[in-house]
Amino acid sequence: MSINKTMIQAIILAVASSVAGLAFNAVRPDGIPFVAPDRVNVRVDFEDTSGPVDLAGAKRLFDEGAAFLDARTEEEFARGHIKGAMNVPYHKADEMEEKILMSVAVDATIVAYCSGADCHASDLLARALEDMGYEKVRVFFAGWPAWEAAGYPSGKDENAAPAPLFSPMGTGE
Amino acid sequence: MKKILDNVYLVLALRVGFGVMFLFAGVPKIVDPAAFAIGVDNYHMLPNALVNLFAIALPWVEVAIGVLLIAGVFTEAAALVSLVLCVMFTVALAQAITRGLDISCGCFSVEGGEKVSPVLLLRDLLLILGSAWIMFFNRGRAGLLCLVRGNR
Repeated sequence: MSINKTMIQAIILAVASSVAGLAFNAVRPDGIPFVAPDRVNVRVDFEDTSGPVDLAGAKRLFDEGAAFLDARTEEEFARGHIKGAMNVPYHKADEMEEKILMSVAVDATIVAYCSGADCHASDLLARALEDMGYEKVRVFFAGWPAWEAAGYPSGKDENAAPAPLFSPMGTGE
Repeated sequence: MKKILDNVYLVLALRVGFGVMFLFAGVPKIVDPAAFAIGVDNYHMLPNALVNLFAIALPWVEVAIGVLLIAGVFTEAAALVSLVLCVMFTVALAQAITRGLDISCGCFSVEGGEKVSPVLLLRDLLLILGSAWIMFFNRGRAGLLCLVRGNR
């Protein structure tokens, strides 16, 4: 078969299946908007009591006793975290479901955070939490760096290795 | 070497394997487009206006080529689309790794799953080679239409 014919077929195939997908999304009840409203809210099903929260909001929820869940890795968590936070690396959310349900009441307000603007682990964790049945899940996008810079209450594991200033050869990620 | 690459059973196995893989990749994303949109957004590659459109359309392309590869219908075209997709995934993954993004791959699972890593980059490179293999050596053999017609 000629390359040209294959290319035309491939383009038709890609366009046709994309159009089918867009059409299906338009009619399905849980379809998403074709254009996301804004960068931090690609999701569409946040309740009034959930959604993003800024530094001041996070501090207020902290004072009110909300449960803080840290979506970063164990190492990052050990080096420093919001006081009383529970470490749930986002990719372990499913296997930690039972532990989370035992520690945090279903009607509690939960604040998920990670390491700031470029990190969406908190967003993924928030989604996993909503799937577990939690309804008041907030995402603190500014995360740990903002909290630490503000000097708000924090905790850390005394045995934690200090943050590397540079990655030694061979062990860099 | 050419004889091995041209082996009809190897090409068939590869084709069906790729087809099943694309079905596994596409279906969860169709089931939960909102989660996949977050996954796409995490790569910080597309402008906001295109994130959802891409997240809605891509899984259907994956499922379509999955079905066609398994059935052996329009196989070369499906393999070409597979090749282009895998190149795209490789570029996205490579830029995520170089930028140090701490995100999940979003390859086969929309939530959590694998974190982006050089191992996944290697996997994508192998998938590019596999797609090219199917595209150049399938030569219209062992497809459903051939079975109907009674030849290989």
